[in-house]
Amino acid sequence: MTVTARHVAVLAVLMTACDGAARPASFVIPGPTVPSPIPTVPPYVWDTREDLAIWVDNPVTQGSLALEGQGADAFIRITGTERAWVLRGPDISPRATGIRTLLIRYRWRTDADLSLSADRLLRAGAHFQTTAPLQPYYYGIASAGADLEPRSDWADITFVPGQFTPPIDVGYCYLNSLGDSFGIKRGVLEIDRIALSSQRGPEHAGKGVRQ
Amino acid sequence: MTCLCLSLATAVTLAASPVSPDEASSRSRARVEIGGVVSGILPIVSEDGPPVVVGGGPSVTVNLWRQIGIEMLAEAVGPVESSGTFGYYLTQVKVPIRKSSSGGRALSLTAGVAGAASYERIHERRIVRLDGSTVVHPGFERLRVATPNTLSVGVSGDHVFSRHASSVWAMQALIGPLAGVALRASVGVSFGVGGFR
Repeated sequence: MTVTARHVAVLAVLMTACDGAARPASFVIPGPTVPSPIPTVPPYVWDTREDLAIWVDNPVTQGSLALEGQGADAFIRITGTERAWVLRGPDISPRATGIRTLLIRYRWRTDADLSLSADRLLRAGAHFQTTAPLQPYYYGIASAGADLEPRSDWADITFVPGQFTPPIDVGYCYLNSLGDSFGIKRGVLEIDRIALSSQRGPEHAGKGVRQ
Repeated sequence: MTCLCLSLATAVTLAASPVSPDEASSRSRARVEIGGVVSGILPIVSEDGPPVVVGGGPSVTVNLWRQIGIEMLAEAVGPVESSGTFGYYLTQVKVPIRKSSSGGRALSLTAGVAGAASYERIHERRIVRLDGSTVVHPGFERLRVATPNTLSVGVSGDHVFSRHASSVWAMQALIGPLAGVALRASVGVSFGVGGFR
């Protein structure tokens, strides 16, 4: 190889585009576990006091929460809804497969002194810890949000994690609300039943978002 | 850093070596020259961006033949609307068109190509989720060098002012996606490896 040809070769290398580093993969450091004292098997419904106690009594759950009632009539009472709360479900082992929705049966009563013009919808979220990222750079959480309307009787609302999310495998779920920064959305939220389902959600279900 | 300071001190010492008239009369280029330039780029036709960008960086010139050299330089420029460090590289041929009788001054035509380059350091980011888990996006460094896509044409001059150093200047037109149509002016200093003969 002549000196000139060598220089041309070096130039050719210098004039080649390159991307010097690949983005390293992100990862998740797991949070506290919530073992279930009872087997977690289909149909993945938490309705009794024993079931709902798992959601209330664990290191992740936070907020002004209490368990009321007995047996199948038991429900979770959340006061101070103007503040944030989290309800963490049990670890599901083996993981629930083909899950599409999470349904809660709830009552939501605002404080009597709440202004008539105040927004009475309570924004709540449901989050599904999945076994694998749903998309590149999304890390194992599928989420859905829904606005709970004031109800004095029990009503169902379904959280659908992402309009186009296929059925997912779920390791655990948690519910939350961020409250409101003005502290005006005072009231009592009661949850009587929580259920995971592989059925498609109804059209009026809360719109899902993925994180 | 220590190495850089020593190199700089050596370069300054060499540059300060006086050149005698006899030496200047027979002055020719070193095979390899290493230096640095500062420049300003004035966009004439450009879609957006600041009115003027300034930059600076190292340069290497390889004099293949006594008459023709190939210069490669890389400059970091600013201000730009980009995170990290943005710059460009320029590879050009220098063809002398006029030389002083002493050989200490030369005027050259330059023609070459330039391309964008960027360096970015992304810091580690941690997101604590409501369930107590933490998503970790590790930090990393990214160097991107694009294919050359901009033409550079102009003139450059140099003046050997010591046994080892010369001052250099250039005035060029840049035409291409890198800068639209722009004028580039630069000044700098160049050190001949082994000295100018």
